[in-house]
Amino acid sequence: MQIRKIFRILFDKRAINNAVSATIMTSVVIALGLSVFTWAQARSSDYNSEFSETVDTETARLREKLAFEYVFYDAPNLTVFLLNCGTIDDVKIKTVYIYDSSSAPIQIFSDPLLYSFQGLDEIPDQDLDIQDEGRLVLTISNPEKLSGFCNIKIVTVRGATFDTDFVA
Amino acid sequence: MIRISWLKKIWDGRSKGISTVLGTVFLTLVIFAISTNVFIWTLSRNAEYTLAVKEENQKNIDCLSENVIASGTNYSVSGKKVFIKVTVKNAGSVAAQIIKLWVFDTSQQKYNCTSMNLNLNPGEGEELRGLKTLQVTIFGANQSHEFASWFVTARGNTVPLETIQEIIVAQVAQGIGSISMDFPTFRSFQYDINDMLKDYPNGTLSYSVPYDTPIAFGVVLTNLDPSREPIHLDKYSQLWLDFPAVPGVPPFAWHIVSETNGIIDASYSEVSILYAETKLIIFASAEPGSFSSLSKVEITHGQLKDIELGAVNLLLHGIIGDSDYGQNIPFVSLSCHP
Repeated sequence: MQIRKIFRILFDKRAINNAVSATIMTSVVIALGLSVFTWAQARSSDYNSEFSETVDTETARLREKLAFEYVFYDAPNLTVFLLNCGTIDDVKIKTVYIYDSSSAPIQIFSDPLLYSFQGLDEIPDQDLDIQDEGRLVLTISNPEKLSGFCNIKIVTVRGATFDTDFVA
Repeated sequence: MIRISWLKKIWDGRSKGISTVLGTVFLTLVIFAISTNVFIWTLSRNAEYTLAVKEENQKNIDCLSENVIASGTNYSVSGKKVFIKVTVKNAGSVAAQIIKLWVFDTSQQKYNCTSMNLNLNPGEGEELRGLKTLQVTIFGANQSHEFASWFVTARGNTVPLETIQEIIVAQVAQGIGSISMDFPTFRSFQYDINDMLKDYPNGTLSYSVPYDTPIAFGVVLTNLDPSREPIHLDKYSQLWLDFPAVPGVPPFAWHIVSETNGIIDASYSEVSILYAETKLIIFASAEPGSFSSLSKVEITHGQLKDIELGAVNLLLHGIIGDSDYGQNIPFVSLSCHP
């Protein structure tokens, strides 16, 4: 009986084939499942970080607030005194737009230099922290175009915009 | 049990559908895990953003609720310094912090600013006068110049400083000259002890004074000089009382005195009234330039009737800007009684 059993184990492969194939199929499914999981996890992680970045940027932009303390025009220089009255540090100015009374752009300044409020020194990191004050000195290339009720718009690196009017 | 039956099925060669089931379970788990992860993450980030929006909205509301009033502004210039006296009141519903004062000299198109740190609770006010007077340096500033100024609060609001109402004809008519007197606030004082005025600064608001008691007078004067110069009153300025109906009685005189919180100085320190400034001036001494218990003045009953009417004149003398100044204001009639 024992010899017969051993013989069957060694030479009768009918059920073994099924077991092996089932094992292989299961392994393949597990492997595929894991790889799909890893891939989907990576994709969702990318999406999460992208979304997170967007939310962070939007939140930061929301917290930015610049107040115009004073805008003084003495041709050809336009001096703008700013106060960071928002709730976020490192407010950097990207672009300044000057519009005339008919809202036509007169001049655009990219990355204008920020000076200390009352001195002649540039602000070292070129940004305004919370409750910091700074000064922009913009030289208008065509002062004759600037007259009457004009507008200045400031765009920050984070994309927030602030504008005010002044009389040239 | 399930696992055993699965193994048994596989052993028996009936493994059909196992991999499909496993695959489905796996995929379902994957989808569930990933979507839950993304959902929760998105939810938490959205919550953060909503919170930030809420905070900013609150800040904007606070900013709009801020209402600081700066009134009664008075400018005076000494050299290159512009002195600003102003009354500040927080009439809003939120606390306010004033961080900067800007002054613009419109006559010469020059400006400057000074940093401040004035915190005001709702309803709270501050008199920025006397030792608290604000000052800003503007080269070339002059008393005759026009000024405009504003405060900047920590929330970024600007508060214009409202100047004292311009001089109106009625005010000038009160006094022919550079100084006007406020009639309803004419007052007299008796003495507390020695050189201390009783009930200072209110005194007795009346046109009636008693005989045989040392008294002093308080007069509220405003400098309305058209050239906007300060007026410096010298020690000879006096309040003069005469009884026209009783020719034999010599007039009584109370000379100007300087005082601190109602205590009269022994020797007179020059009293100055800046342009548009209103000041209480005390007349108390029989002697010009000094004050002691011996120089107190009382109206003696003597040959005067029980109720006698006297004419009061205000004789003001001193310097206005760089020029001499003298003014006589016949302004009040006074009844005397025992």
